[in-house]
Amino acid sequence: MTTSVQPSPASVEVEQGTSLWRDAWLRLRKNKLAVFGMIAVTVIALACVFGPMISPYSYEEMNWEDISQGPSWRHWCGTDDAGRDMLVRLLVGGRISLAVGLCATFVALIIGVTYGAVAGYVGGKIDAFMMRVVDIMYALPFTIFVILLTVFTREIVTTYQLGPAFDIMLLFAAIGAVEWLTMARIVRGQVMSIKKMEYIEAARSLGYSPLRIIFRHILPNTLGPVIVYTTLTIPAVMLLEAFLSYLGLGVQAPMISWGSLIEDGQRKMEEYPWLLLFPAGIFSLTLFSLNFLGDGLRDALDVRSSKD
Amino acid sequence: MIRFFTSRLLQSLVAMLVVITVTFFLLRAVPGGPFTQERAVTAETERALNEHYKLNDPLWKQYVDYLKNLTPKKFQPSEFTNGFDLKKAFGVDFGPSFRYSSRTVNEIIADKFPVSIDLGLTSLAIALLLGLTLGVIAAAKRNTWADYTATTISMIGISTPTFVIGPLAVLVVAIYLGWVPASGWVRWEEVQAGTQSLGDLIRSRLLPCCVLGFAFAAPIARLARSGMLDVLNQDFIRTARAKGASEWRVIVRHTLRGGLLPVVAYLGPATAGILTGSFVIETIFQIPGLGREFVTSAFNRDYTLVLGTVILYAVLIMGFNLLADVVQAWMNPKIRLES
Repeated sequence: MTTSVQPSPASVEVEQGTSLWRDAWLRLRKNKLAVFGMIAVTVIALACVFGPMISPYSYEEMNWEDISQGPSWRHWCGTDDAGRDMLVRLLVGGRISLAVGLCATFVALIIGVTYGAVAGYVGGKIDAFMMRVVDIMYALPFTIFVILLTVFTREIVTTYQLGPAFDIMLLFAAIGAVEWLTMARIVRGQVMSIKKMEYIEAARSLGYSPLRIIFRHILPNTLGPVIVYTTLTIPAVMLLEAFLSYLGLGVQAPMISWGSLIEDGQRKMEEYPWLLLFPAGIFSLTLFSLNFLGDGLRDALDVRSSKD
Repeated sequence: MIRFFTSRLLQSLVAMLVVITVTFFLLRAVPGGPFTQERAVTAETERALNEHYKLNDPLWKQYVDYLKNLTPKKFQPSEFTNGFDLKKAFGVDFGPSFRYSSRTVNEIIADKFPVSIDLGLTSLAIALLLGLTLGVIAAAKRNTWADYTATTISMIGISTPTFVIGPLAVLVVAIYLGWVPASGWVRWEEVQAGTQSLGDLIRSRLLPCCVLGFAFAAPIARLARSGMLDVLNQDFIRTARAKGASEWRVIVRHTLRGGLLPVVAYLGPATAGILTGSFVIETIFQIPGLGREFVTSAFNRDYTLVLGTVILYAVLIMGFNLLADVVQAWMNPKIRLES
């Protein structure tokens, strides 16, 4: 941890590039599965963001002439029973799935890092109490709570007539609010070991405020595990979102996500199997890729396995 | 050991109270009552309904009353296994259902829960059998094709959710091949009564239990493999080999106990996973279990049914977590001493 964390622009030259991050990048590049995961995620994400813009079809426009067609040159992934182009629907659904994954992970990241850093830095009784709270929350039935939270937020959205976008935002918050526990534990452990180092003592003797020490001097050095765990949280959150949408508790029509597309495809799979196969395939591929990338990052950044 | 157990038990009790309190107030904080959605209900009827279900009482009184009804008053497990009546067995009363006006939550649980237990236990058995076999073989034959096959299978199982594998399995095995029915559930009682054959029972269970079991066989296999490998690298295993123990004896006699510890620790999370997995499996295969009922009741804002199910699930999950901790402490003196 003595290497510089953010290389200055001047240190880009090869002979100076021995930072933690450069080493990690070199190791990551050797891991074929992780590289594959990175490329696949990038391609899927770019396609989801830009694909619907260049496609001649829209995700909700029905076309009664092209009902329930198999994959063809006109519709690469076929059409559903309202004649809507599946490829565009997949990409738009992917936008929502990815957005939920990113935003909820961001919420979890902020809560978890702050909570863990404070507990680890303050220590003593406050730390013991804060971690006991985390222990108790660990024991709660997670998914069940998320289901309750989504029902709760749904009611609020319908009662106060907020838009569907708000529904999704509350979903992010609900998922993020329960996914931060492991992050808090990891950051706390890191902070506890870092705060004993000499340079922190030096910072303290210079009279810096605890907040400055935590955010400026300690947290940057916990980045490795935080990045790894963040990468692994994204697929976990996407899985949870798809699970909720599959059960009909997640995003609501006309909005779509991969989970709701899978649910829809399952009901029609007997006659039109492609309606199930495409969303199931792209969703699994994304999860696979993100997990490979996360595992690769863990090896590359040499983070000890701290799952579960 | 006893101190360890009591501290974990206390922690679980606090967590339980948190679950009940949060769920209770979360549901009450939802704008609108359970009857406001219904079209045909007049203001008068609603008032009467609120009166009947005591929704007009102050909130704290409803809460205290609810807690009172929840507190176990007796302990007769035989009544529980014999019809799943929580009231007769423990004196626990979850109150009337808000949606099914003529039924109590206890009755609904007694009706649906056995199906979910059946599904869950069968799946857990399949998961353990498949997962342990794969994991132990992978560890014993490390870096051979057997290891790679087992590892790949478990990677697929970990990365692919049940709601993807489930419909695909139905499509291929039930619809294209036609080997088993695509949905439905045959109860044991129906076989005993002679209305359904044993073959039908097995066929109706094959897909749902295998899909749910496979989802948990995968992490079990991975944990078993890494746990076994950790132990196999230790000195006492070399000693065992040096004194001429056969490979079989090394695995079974010396490695299994320590190597399977991570799997035991996974028992708690696995129970939670199988319960939530049952929401999906029961929806895919249209199985009349409690998981589907929970999702529907969450939709319908059936306060008491949601609360009852959540509490039941929480008790189960925490119970299994506690059990896993105790078994772990019993199997591994290190954990016992650290606490």
